[in-house]
Amino acid sequence: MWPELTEHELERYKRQIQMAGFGEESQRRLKGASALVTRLGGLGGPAALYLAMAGIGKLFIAHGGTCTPSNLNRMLLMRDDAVGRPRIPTLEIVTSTDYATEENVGEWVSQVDLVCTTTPDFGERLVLNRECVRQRKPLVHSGMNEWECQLTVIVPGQTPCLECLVPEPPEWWDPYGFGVIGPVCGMLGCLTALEAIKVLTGCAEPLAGTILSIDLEEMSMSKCRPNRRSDCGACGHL
Amino acid sequence: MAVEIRIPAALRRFTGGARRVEVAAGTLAEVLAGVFGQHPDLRGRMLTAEGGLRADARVFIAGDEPEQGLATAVGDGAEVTILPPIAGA
Ligand SMILES: [Zn+2]
Repeated sequence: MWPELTEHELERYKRQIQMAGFGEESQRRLKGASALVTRLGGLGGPAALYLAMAGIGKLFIAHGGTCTPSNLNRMLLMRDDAVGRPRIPTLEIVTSTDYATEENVGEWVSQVDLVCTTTPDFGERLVLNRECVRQRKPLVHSGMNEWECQLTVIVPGQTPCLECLVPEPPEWWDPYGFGVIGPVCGMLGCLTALEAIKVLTGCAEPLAGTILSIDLEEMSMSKCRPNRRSDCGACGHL
Repeated sequence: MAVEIRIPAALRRFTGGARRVEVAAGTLAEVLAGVFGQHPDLRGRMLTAEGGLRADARVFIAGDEPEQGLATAVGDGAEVTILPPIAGA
């Protein structure tokens, strides 16, 4: 069953435990859950931060390369020195300084209950999607461009997978050419964490099979319901 | 009356920056032909060489995929959404 909550955890999380439909059981499920967040950029940073703050039990965070000046308009500087100090919840953190590749994703995905793809590279997202389909693990797919965001939850075999939606990286998408400002990817990172929490706890209604599309220039949002593709190379056989 | 379609930011480089396109109602094929008539560079981003919708060029009518593909009727004032994949982070 789900791990028990300590007195400190009951106090720490009491304001979310009191939320309708959440409760102590969701908190315990979250404590027993794990997620992989690939790339800790303007999107994955807040997603990982909010998952940790909400009380997830284990977080696997991966990002290759090193920080560049153009990252600094949106990337959270996570404080390593806080880890291990008193008053931090029991949280197992696994890190990797590699990018997700066909070679490492099998091992990575096997360690967690859910994956958040927060990388600008469609190739990397598709590799993670294939592995999530193979291991039947849910995938939260979120991406932004300038003022716009998209968010969906992929449940292999039940919803369209990423490859149903994007069979191969679009030739016109430049992974390092999109315009980005912190609050846009920050907000989307929070929503990414929220969808992960919904899936991991069984609370509320995740965007399974629905793409939420948000335009923060005009402050509008809409939902679309894509179909699965029976000829999908990743999930067509499910 | 007509159909107004919002062009997502990721595709605006193919519409000369235009954000909205207004075209006459008809089948989805006719509606899209109207869009491409005004913005020819968009055609290759949305259609295959054979003239079908690209798998990554999703078009929704009132939030759902068009049931009869390009033959689906799009009425005046219909809510047509073009949703290109984006992955910015
Ligand atoms: Zn699929």
